[in-house]
Amino acid sequence: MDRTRSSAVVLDRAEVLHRQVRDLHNDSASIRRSVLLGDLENRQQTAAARSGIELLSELGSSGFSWRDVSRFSKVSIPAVQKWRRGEGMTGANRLRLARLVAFLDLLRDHFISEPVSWLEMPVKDQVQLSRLQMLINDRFDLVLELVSDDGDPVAVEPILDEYDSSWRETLVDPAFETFVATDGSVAIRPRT
Amino acid sequence: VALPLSLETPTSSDDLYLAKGLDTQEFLSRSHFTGDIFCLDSGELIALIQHPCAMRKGTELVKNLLTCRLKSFGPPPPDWSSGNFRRMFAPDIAESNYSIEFDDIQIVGRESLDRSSRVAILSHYGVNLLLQRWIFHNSRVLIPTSTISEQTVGPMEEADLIWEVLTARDPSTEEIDVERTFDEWLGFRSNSGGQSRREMLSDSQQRSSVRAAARREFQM
Repeated sequence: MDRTRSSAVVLDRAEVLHRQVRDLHNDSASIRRSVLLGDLENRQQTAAARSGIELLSELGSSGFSWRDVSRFSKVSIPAVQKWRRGEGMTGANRLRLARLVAFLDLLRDHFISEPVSWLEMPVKDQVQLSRLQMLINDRFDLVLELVSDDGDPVAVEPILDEYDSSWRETLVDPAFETFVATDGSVAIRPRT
Repeated sequence: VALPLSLETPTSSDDLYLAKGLDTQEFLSRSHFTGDIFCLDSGELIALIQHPCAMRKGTELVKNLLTCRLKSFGPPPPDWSSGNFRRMFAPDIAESNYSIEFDDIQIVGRESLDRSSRVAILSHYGVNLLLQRWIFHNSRVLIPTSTISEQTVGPMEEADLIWEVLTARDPSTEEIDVERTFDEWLGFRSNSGGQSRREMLSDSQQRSSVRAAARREFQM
């Protein structure tokens, strides 16, 4: 009887401790996210001092495709071409490009040496979603969560759950996969 | 949107096009690509239907290309998955709505397909949607556009880069010469057995470095 009561007390304490650690973890994750977003805002303001042509030049030399720049900016590629020739760009569009340039800057400071490559890669193997697509959908906060500060693997699935809780059904093809055929070109076959 | 158990429907007709109407003039240097819609001298509208790799040998188009005729069609249905399996919708071209008719096939000589007579160029998503319907029409196999996209992204990236290189070229140079030089550059392998730059364009991890290198090499 005493042993049972003693076990119950220990279990109760363990559950309280577990809740406290979980709350602390959630608090620290929330603080980290808001600090990183604040850092991004500051870098964006700095980048916004550059001209539209300079911002586009930075994105181009970093390896972005103009197709992705247009998708991110929510304008057509001919519109991006006009910006590259120096034709008018609204303040809102310049600020948006500045956010992307600032994001590259932030990633480099977090030891991601080829940030555009990192952005274009799938978030997780076999999941048809890139980090860049998350940025295009304005989820900078979640992509920042995918940045590891200490080189440890990031728990990706909770981040995907927050992005789209149905990602296992919407972003994974259970039937087909791509592979490199013997001629060096990519092809499609049933998943084995 | 769940991975499809049926043919997919775009959110908006704007999602289908890279350019149409006057905007196509911005892309005069862009290679012929799957889904390009041309106005022939006869006034007929036709769409290229082959996979991009099947259309070319090196920098040259093959002599004859497989196309489908377009016909006037009403506004596309709100749901593209039910019926109309013999066509792809091509709304809002030249102030009208059309469909690409898969059972109205025509072989067209390359000399009839001048890039200046292109009236619409499909977006990457538009190409994937066309291929999804074309594959389904021909084989009754349904593949998600997101998976088709993983296959078509390399050729699409190559077409984008060729366009960039040709658009940025010195006007005193011949387009065909620059295209050949770039084709050789894309075929380069840094080591035997390694990937060519062209193959790297299909790899999400490597394609941005190819773009950046091309822009440095060809001063874009």
